[in-house]
Amino acid sequence: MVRQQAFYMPWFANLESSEHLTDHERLLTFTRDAGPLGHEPGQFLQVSVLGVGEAPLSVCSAPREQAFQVCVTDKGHVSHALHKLGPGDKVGMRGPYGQGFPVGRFAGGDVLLVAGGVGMAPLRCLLGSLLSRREDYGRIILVYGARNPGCLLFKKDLDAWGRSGEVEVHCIVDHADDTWTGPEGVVTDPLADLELDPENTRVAMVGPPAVFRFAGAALLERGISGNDIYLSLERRFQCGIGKCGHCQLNDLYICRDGPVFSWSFLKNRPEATELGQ
Amino acid sequence: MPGTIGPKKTWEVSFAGMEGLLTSLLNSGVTVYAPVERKDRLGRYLFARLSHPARMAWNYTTTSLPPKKLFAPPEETLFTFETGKGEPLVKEVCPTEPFVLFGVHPCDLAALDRLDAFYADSPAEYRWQAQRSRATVVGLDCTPDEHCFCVDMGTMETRHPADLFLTPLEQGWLVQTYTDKGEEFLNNTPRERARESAIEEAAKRTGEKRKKAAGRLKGSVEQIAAALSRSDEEFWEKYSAACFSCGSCNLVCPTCHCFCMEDRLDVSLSSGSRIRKWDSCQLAGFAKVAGGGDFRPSASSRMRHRWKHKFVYLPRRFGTAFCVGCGRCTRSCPGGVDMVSVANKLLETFGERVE
Repeated sequence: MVRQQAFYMPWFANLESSEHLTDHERLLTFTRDAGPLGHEPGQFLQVSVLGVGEAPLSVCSAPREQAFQVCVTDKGHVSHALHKLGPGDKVGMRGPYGQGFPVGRFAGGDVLLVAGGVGMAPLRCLLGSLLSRREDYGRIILVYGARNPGCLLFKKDLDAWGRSGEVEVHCIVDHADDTWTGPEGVVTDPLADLELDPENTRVAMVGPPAVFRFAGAALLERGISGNDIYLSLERRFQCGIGKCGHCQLNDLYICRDGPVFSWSFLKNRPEATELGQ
Repeated sequence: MPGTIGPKKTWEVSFAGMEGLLTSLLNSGVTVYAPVERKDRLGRYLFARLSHPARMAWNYTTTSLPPKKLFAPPEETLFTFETGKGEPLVKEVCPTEPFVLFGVHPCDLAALDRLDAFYADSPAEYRWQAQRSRATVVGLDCTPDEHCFCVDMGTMETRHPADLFLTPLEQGWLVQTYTDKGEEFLNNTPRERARESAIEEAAKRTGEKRKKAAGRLKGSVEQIAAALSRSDEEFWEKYSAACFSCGSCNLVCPTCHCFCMEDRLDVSLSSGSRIRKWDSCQLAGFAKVAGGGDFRPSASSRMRHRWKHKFVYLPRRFGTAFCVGCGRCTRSCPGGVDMVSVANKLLETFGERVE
């Protein structure tokens, strides 16, 4: 029998740095001996801390860079263990897995990125990919909503993107504080004010189900086709290859068939964005 | 997924000949898993390592756990690891020694066929395939009990993926071989080319089985799927009221395949293993995500998902229902949820009226 890929066996990456992003998030930077990761924007890794377990994390650095990065929220056993690691530690990886954003379809038009909370992480990867061929796209607009100013990820990048003039950056927070000079509200607020060319705009959205529901509905109302709105869904993947069953969304296995889908494709699949009661 | 394919060759083997085959098989030292009566619960059976030919339960009704456990065990080690300075040492664990799986009923053969298709679908799961290739599978004809609905599910006459299949006759066995492996299996067993009368006798037996167990479902698989697509919240709330969300139906199902992965650390804290074990879509929290959201928080949403997965979603991908009519879920449900009654209620409530 032909020996096939040993899916469940991790390979090891070198942790180069662990950087404080917010009170709950750290940015981990890795290299591996085999060279760049070779991922597409929207793909994820199964990251292992041996003895603790494995967690799915999306890659948040641009493709083709020598190092790759993941943003880790301290929320469970594995993420907590990842937060404690430091430079020089070896971290188990499987992947990258999944179908990413169809970047080829974005060329030639405007691109609107809608991020809610930690959904900014995979979109940073997509944005990096778009900026590496900036001339291929029209406007690039980022609308990013976070709970409060302290929760905003990648503040340095947000500043740099805004200053460069290459990206129109709109950040909004649910609850402002004294440091905040931007608007207060939800992610659909800036969407309502944006001038958009609906025929010529592709959307990439990552966030909690509520963002999908409200922002999705708002964009459809603005005349953007469901075929041009892409969402990246999150589930607790265990295998990453469509076998373990944890990521089933009606008839789909999100890890294998997604995690990126078009709005139209998910339209008649209620488990996509509806958290049950 | 071929359901019924013709045998390569059809033989007759005497009762004594079959005893001899089993005896010499055990004497050769090869591992044989076969249905044996449970010592803890008489009248119940399980696939266990056969120690003596006399323990073989030729007339068993069904086993508590399906034969999938021999290819994807309830818990298995994927790899072991050692951590220390530098890169951790990981070593894959994947058993390789061959074994014989003896006495698999047609419904369970149909289930293996479906799992073969599921695991072969891209990306193919080499662990399942490696485990399957270790085994010689010997099928055995059965007698349906009151919970079986294999006839309605179209699995009563399944032979694939058995290497050979045994049907009892008044005098001896009708043995059909389906693969070279199955043919080799008979190499040292005295046998005759089957007489026409023996083949007829086996066919008559099949006809009687069909008569006994047919018509339990009041509609076809396609009609059940169509009714499921129309089913509403109210229906599932009503029929899941008896469900304890215990997951027994998943554990005993011959086609269920969901699993979870877990790390085990040795007391040294520097070595351990990663295992995978069966999981259940009926347990609360199966569809939970980081941050606490749950995509199927109620028993009714989980029950509906299980039904749709077996009758609508997987058939879309593989062209066949992932229920084989073995009745194990009904037998094992502590709440008394009966697969056949729920299916018939579905058909009654949401089926299209046939004029």
